[in-house]
Amino acid sequence: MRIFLRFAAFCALACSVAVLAPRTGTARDIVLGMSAAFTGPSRGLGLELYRGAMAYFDFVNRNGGIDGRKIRILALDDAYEPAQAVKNTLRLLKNKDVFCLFNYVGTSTVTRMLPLLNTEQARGKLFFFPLTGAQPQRKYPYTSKVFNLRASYRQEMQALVNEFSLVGRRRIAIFFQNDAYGRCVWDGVRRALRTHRLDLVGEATYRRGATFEASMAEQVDIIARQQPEAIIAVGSYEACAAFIRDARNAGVRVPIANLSFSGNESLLKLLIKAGSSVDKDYTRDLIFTQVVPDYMDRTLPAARLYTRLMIKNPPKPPDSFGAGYEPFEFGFVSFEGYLNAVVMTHILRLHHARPETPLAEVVEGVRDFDAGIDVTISFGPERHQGLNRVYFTTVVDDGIVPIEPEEWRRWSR
Amino acid sequence: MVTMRPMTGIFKRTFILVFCVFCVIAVLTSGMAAYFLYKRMVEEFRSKGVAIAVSIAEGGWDVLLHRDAATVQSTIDNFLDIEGVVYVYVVDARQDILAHTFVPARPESLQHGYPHSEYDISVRNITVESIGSVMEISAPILEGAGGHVHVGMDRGLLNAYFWKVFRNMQLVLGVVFAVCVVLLYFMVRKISRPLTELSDYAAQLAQRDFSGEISIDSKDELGLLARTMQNMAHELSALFSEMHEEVAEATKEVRTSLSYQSAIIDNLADGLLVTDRDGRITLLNPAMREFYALQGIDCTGTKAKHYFPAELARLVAAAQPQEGGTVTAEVPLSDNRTGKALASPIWLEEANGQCLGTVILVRDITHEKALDRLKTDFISTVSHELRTPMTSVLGFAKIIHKKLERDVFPHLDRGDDKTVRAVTQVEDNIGIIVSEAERLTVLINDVLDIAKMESGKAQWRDKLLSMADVVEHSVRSVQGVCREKGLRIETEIEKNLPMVFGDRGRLVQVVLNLLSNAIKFMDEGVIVCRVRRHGDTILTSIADQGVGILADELPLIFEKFKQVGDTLTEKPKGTGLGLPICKQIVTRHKGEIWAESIVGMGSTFHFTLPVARDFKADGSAPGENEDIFCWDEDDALGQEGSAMLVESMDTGQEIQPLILVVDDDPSLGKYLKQLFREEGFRVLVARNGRQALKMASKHLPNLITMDLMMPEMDGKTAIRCLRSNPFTRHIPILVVTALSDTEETGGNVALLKPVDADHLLETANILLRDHDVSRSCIVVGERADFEFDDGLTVFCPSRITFCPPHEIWDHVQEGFKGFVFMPHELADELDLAGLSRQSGVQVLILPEASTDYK
Repeated sequence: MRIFLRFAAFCALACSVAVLAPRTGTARDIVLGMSAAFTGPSRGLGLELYRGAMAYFDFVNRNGGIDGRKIRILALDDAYEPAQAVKNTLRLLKNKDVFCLFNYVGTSTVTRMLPLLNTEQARGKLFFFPLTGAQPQRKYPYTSKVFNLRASYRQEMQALVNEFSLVGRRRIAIFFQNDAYGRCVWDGVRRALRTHRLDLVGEATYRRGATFEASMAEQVDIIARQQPEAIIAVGSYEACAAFIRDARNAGVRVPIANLSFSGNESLLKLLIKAGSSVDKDYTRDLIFTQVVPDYMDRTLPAARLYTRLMIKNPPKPPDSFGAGYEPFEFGFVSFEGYLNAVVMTHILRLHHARPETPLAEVVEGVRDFDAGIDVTISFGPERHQGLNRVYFTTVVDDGIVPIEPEEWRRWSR
Repeated sequence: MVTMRPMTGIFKRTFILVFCVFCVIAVLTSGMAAYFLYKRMVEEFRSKGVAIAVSIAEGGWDVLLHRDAATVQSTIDNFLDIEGVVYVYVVDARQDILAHTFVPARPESLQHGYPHSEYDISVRNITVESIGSVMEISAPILEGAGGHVHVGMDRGLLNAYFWKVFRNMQLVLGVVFAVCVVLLYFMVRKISRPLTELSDYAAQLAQRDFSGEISIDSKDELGLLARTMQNMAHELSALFSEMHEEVAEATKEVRTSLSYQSAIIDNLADGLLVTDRDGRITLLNPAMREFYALQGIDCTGTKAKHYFPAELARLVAAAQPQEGGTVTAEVPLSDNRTGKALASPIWLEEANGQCLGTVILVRDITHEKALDRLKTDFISTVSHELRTPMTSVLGFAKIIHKKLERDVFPHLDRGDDKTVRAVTQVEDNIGIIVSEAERLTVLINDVLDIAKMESGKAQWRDKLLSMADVVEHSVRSVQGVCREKGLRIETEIEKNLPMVFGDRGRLVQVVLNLLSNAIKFMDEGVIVCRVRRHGDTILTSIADQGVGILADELPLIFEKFKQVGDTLTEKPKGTGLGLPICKQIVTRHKGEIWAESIVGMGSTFHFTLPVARDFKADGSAPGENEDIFCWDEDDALGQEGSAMLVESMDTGQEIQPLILVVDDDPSLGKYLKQLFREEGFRVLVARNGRQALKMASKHLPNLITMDLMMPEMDGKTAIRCLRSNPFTRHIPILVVTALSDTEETGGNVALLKPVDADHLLETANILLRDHDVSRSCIVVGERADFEFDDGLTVFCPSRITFCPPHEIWDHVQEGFKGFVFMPHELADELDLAGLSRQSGVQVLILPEASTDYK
């Protein structure tokens, strides 16, 4: 299966390269290299991230681009497989047209490709805004080559644990994907709990690649045995949805928190569908941590533009991918992609203005950039992460809504 | 596998053996190979695990120290793809987990730390739930300060690998074996085809088909075998045809002889029946079928008793145990015929012979029987008819002689020559009549005797006896005659002779006959009687010194009516039946009799009797004979002293008749003695039956009066003993008894006590003396149902009147004087006492006639 996937990815890559070649041929276009899951169980992340980014880039390109130069994304599929991500990265690094790496998806994939950035092959190419809150790219020796926009998993977990602790839920268990991503979040949760002098009461893993059809009853059983007061589910949206379904089926009523990475909309869609088929509500007591604000918040200019762009010119999935994929109208992932694109466009404009200045210095010089959200974005030599804020959402009437601070009380014990 | 028709036992066994050996080899080889590979793999796994653990521990120590769980996880995830690695986990120095690869959770058994080397790489084999057997390699990070890396290698994989290698090896070896078997099959077929052909050919030979040919002409051993077999077949063929001819010839001979035999059997006038051991019929000739009206019935195989009368069936059974002996019997045939059957067993000729069955020959003797009966009837009738008138002739001749002597001659004038001559002539003539009549009587008796013996009607009273005793007795009997003739008799008797089994009376008769022959033909000299043992027989010889017998005549002397000498010129002395009777008696006792003689020197007669085998030497065999032991010598001799012989008239011209009085009552004995002596008889008195027997045989009295109630031996028994002895059987017995049931005692006449003296004397006179028998006789009863006794005709020769019982009184009142005879069965109907009181009337009760002694 793995071989087949690789083969399919290779074919897709070959095709995409063939298709993109004439357009990248024009030296005027700015090409951003992207490797993400466009196939497989996590393809919703890659596709939505791409669509969000492309919504803004298309908007920029329609308005003349950056001094006439259009911004394009060279998208390669790694199917959320680290090895394939490494191959894709190498290919992108070798490609002279690729300006920088942008919009990667996944911790394990990113963690594995990071060392490439310090090789000769990288030729100083920087790595922008991967969709992961993992620690490695925020640490030595990659800090100089990597710029993050979103808050780290540690920050997400610290915020979540703080909230749970406030409502009296101190017995916390974790269900996580047994790879670098899961381990990273697991580590984050443990660190957060340690600040409250607590530790995990239970943990269970699943193997990366599990689908919604897979049974998570075993993991549910392992965790339920510890009688947790809250569960944190870390993984792909299909695996998390499967876990939630099985946990609820097993009578586990405690709140289950999911990370931003989970792809809330995709997850919700699966749960609603499964719940309606068995006439059950799987969407109760679900908490999602978000690293971007609510895209439906009309007070935010970015959210307003985003929704307008998404409705007006709904971006297509990358060529030759997304067959049979039903895109979301909006979503936190695509909004994150949109914000990534906004910040990236700002950086590209700055760089275009001062081409002689190294890109890293340009980025490190960004201070209080208003991307149209509730906070400004600043970078610095010691600050390669643009945002630090964590938001919480929950499901109300099959819709994802923000949790107001006072609303936490409903989960208090 | 292809069905191997030519796969014979040897090949099959070889194949099985090879298969088994191959299996063992295959298992061992693949097992060994797989084991070595397994061992190697274990080493490989170990080194692999060590390499992984070390590479994680050494390679990422900086990452580990930074506690970057995601990087650690990413690193160990890489190693999970390596074959055999089931898990990797990293713990820090506090044994706190840093990262692991377990799904869904770390197994319980690995949750807790275990003692391991802090500084060295350690390898241990453990069993982990839900994973199985695992080889765990632990490597320290920074000498344990940074924690430990644990790598689990799947031993189950090794086992699976082992079995996979084993299976593959087996498969390869199996294929090789299959190819070998196919090759072998074709080779075996190549070898076994000629072998099969040879065996088929051999089978053909076994069925005597010599026409087959073998197509094998190879030069190897098989070809040689084929040629040899063919030669053998030719030899056999020649041999067989020769044998066939011989067999045909022999069969022809057998057939001829068989047809001879069957012709003989079929034409046999006698019936022939052959049965097997179980009495089933195996052969039956036409004559036999005719005898039993079985024509056209197939009887073979069925039991003889189904078709034949019981007598014959018994014969069949009886012949079986008779070793070599034959059994004869008379059997009834169909149509009221009689047959004589002779059955003899068939013995297998080998030693410890086995009885195969019985052969029975049946001869139709109806005709012979009829003739024999006719002859016997003729002889007895003639003899009887002769005897009756002879008694009268002799009786009257004697009476006339007496009357003449007593009443006529004394009154004649002796002076007249003519008268004297007439008297002399009359006396001579009457003497001749008397002697000739006596001779004729003897002759008739002898003829009757021999006729009885020949017809098998003679009565034999066999018992154990001593030949010595017989001879002594006989010699005593003739002693008187010898003395008269001036001859001497010597006896030489061997001591301790065994007993013989026979009729004592008859044997005495033989010896007496021979003795009297010797006396008859001798004028002077000594007669020697010898009795000695000769093998299993007792040989009795009587030698005389008489005229002797010519050698030509010796074989004839035992024939009937043959007397040595010229019967025309010499007056025959005797009947000529003595020796034939002797021969009959001796032969009947399974003995032999013969004579040796030298003319002028004398003759010797020998006869042998077989020693009694089946009895004890002392010869006491009580119950062997229903008779009482009559001649108990010792007993009799012991009592001899008390016997009295009283001579009354020593010097009388005529010896007076001797009467033996037998009575246990001394007074009555005395009375009777006196009574008889006054009448002029000589009297002997015996106290009991045994003594009476002894005295009777010794003195041969003319009359015996017998009491019935006596100690030791009663009268009845004594009478039977007397009657069984040929020397005493003729003695009339007068029963004087108080008993009323005098029937069946065997006496001639019975008188009831108290005895009337006149009555008794009269009766005795009647029985003894032949004079003055002038009284009339009345016999009560019908003539037809009354059998005459000889004695009665003698003393009432002329005037016998028969009257029914109710007329007797009429006769008496008319003045009848004389004897009234009545059968004992009528005695109860008449007033005997009343009759007896009539003067001049004597009542005699006739006992039931005992036919045995008639």
